[in-house]
Amino acid sequence: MKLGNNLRRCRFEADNMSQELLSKKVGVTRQTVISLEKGRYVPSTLLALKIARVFGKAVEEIFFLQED
Amino acid sequence: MDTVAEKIIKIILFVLVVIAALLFFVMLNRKRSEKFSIDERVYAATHLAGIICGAAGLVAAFIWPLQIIELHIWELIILPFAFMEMYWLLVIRKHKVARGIDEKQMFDLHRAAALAWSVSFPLTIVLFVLYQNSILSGLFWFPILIFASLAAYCGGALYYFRRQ
Repeated sequence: MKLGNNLRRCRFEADNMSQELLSKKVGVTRQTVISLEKGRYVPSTLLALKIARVFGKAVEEIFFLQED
Repeated sequence: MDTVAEKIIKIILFVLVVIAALLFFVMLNRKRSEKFSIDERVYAATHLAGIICGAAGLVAAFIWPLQIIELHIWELIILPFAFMEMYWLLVIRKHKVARGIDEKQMFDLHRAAALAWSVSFPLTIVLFVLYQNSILSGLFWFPILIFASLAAYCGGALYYFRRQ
């Protein structure tokens, strides 16, 4: 199983928020946001909660388990 | 007794280290340091400098196996990377660790450290065998080990950071 995400869709729905802006809001680099969106990096619980707070959604609406 | 070249190099090194140390402590207490921050460009540049220093050190170790230690060339080669690392320490200390590097960068550095260990461990064994069989002698092992580890660590950090 791996971690999927709706990060890109959430950014689009949030007035087309840029990766740069999201990275600044949650305190990571833009490269980290890119890696998250591509599923290359699994965020910590803290980071996942921060991202969810930025978009005003539950963590499960943004991150979910995916079958391999 | 040091030669003239050794003395000159030692003086240069001493002056550079003193200047760097002074800047480190002075910048900690000045508002100007608020402008400095660690961003991904600094992270990438630091590790690129490490790769270059590591590669240069390895080349220098083969070209000048005796002089690289005797004339302190290895310290001059490693200085650019050392200064950039000092910049990191400055910003991390000033802005607290949380803003120094993010969690993925920390994760990448851990993986890079594992890679560097996996390079340095067999390399140490190879050097040991070469020394045991008198194929190598002297302090040649030191620049080989330190620069190979540096190149592997920084190369790994940059690769994991940029891999998307």
